Amino acid sequence: MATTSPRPTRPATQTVALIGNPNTGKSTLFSALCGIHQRVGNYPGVTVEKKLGRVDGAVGSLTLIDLPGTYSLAPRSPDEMIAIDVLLGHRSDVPPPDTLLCIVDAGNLQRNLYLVSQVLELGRPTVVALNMMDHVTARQIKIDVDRLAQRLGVPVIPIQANRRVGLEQLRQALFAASEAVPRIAESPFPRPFQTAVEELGTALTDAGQPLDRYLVERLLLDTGGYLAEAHLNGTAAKVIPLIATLRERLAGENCQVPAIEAIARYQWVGRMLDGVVTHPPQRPVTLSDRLDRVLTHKVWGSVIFLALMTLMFTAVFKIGKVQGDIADVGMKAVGGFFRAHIADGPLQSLVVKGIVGGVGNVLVFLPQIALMFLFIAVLEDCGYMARAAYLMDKLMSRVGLSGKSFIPLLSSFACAIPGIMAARVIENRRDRLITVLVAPLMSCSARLPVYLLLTAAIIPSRNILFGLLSLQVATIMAMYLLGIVVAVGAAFLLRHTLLKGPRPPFVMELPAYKVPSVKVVSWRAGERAWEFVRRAGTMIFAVSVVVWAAGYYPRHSKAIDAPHHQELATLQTQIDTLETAKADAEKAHGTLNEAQQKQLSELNDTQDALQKKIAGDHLRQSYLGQAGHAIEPLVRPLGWDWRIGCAAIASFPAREVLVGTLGVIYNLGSEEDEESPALREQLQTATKDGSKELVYNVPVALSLMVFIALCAQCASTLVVLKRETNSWRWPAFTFFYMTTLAYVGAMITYQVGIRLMG
Amino acid sequence: MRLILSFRGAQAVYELIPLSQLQRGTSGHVSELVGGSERRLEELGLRRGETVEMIDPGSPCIVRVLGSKLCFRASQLLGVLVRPGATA
Repeated sequence: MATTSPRPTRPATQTVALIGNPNTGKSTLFSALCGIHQRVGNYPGVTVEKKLGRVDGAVGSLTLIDLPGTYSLAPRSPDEMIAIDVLLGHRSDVPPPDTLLCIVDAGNLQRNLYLVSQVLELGRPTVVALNMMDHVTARQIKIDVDRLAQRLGVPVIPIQANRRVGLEQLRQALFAASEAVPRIAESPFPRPFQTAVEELGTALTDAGQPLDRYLVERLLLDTGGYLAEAHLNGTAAKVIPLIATLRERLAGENCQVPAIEAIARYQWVGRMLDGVVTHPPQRPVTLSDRLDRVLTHKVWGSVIFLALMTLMFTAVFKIGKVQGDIADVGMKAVGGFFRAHIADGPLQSLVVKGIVGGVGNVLVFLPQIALMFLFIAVLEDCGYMARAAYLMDKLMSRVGLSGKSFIPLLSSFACAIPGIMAARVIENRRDRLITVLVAPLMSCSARLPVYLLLTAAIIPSRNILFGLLSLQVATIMAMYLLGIVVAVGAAFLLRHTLLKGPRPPFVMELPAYKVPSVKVVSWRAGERAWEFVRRAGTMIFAVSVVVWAAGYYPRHSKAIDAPHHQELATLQTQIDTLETAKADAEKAHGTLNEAQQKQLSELNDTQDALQKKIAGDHLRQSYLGQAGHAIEPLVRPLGWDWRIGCAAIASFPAREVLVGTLGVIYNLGSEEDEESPALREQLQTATKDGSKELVYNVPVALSLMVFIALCAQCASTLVVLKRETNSWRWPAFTFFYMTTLAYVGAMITYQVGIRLMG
Repeated sequence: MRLILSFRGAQAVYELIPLSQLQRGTSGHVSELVGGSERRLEELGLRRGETVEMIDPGSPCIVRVLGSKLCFRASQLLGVLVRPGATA
């Protein structure tokens, strides 16, 4: 720690704003500095994520504000304006930063210093973190860090955020920097432009709206007029003609606006780097280059991409098998525990069948979901995702979307909500809308339990494609593919009907590959998995309880239980007698005679059947049963019975409740006093009311999966859609189109399936 | 389509082609930016005088500029006129 002199004036906590180009390791640095002390929220009115973190150190604590990655501080929309407002301390919802921390990719100083030149002009104490120094060494580039710091006039700290190298020095520099007297950086612009800025600044002050020098510059440079419209109001609007005059004058002085900015800043960057960076005479071919030759190859790249996806889903499915058995044992143990400790009655039924059956059946999928998140996080962190987006852009551009839509759509495989929020990076409004409207069609993690349960239970386990792929895994992948294909179709239609417009631009950086950081990957995967648990604990819990209550009440004990009372009692007595006889015989190391054994098993069967009938009668009489029967005609063309119909309806608020709801329904419909078998087995043996015909066969399972794949069963997604589009029109549209698609799709699946399978 | 602007001087023939037409593995110097969206491209380093290398042509294509790889659609690069130069 710095131990120069006592610093009584320093406040207990300091605020640092973190900014940098995309792919500079900004998020990695944020996580490395803040660990778990981070909060994520939203800036009101715009679609920018507000991310705050806390860094604790021996000399005090820092509040770190993470800003979205950007190549330039040239706002053309409210979203881009946020960064400047935060950096200048103009927002009331985040503390004004004492220090600006600008992270740059050491291997890419020329482009990164463009942003640095803008940040320095803001006139706040600044620290530059030179990240990815290891890449620089690998590429035989030499950087004279001290000289760079001297030229920039601010501390420059070499770090390796993913290895946590240099973080202590960075922390010290941040504390020290806020005490340094900030100096307004020398303007990189030529003299005539600076004069014009001064004139405009004076005019604004006279008009009663003094602005930071940087904003005055931007007013002059922003020929699109966004800034003038957003920032100049009332009396200040009278400077607008002056802006036009100044631009005209500058054009005559060889300072064309806005072209002058790139020229001036890159000249400045050139001056800063002259003699500071030494490149090897021949650019060495890096490992990244060699990898890219294969991974971005139009044929091999696509083959590898498909193979990676197959590997991911196979792994997720395979661990499901192992973990499924363990989870079944665990569920039975937990259910048995509550059964033993709570007296028979509604409370026991609620806990065992409602909560354990509902929430438990969803939570058992956590390891599989966590594994999938882990895969995605590793692919993201090592730099592969950008290559996947590159490969996908060809496909995406054909339907009128950009590769940029790929990342939001890919995130939607985890959950549509972060996916929709990730679409904020798409500048073009039309593109953003199309992306968020089709994003909920991507099979999110909440659908995975349904797929896993139904395929494991109903789809035959056998290998196809010469033993390369199991039919069950292929089914799950087909569901994912279905979502993608339908999304592509919907995007195409939207682009050609409601949201017509020109093709959007597309720029994306392909960062150098790196070994994924354990910390970053586990943090990202953990965060998303926790979100899943949180929803299981709240939404699914609530729906499970409601579904349980609807399936348990009204309880017509007299009408249903009473007529069978005598019969059950007689059966129990007979069974007890035989069991006693059996126990006695076993004590004498013998067994019951054949006739007795046969009688015992017959009695047990009769008892089971009767109890099942009673439980079934109760369920049919319940509110849930009544509702289910009412909608049965509607779901019959899909091949469903009323129970599936109930579960599908109950899962409209959140589709992850479907598995839980099925768990509750089949538990309620099962015998009261026996441990219920695993939900998988319950599905396999479920029969239609009043017959021995099985409810589930392959077409029914497929129809249900197709319905889940396509339906808008997620209230949170619709709410986020409303927030992101600022209108109820789009969520209503999404709900309507997806639900219709789901119903029609499920019906076609079943009707075709049942005919093909005879 | 191959857009060629030729200026015939005493001896030299300067051939400017859109960046999207640059052959795989070759470099060029950006000579001019025409069209609408050049501001964003300039911020990324696609500006007059800069050397660019075409790593993977097509649409989208991968271009190395200022030491990093960027991918663009061919249509966006029609307005970036380069003078083809030495191989990378």
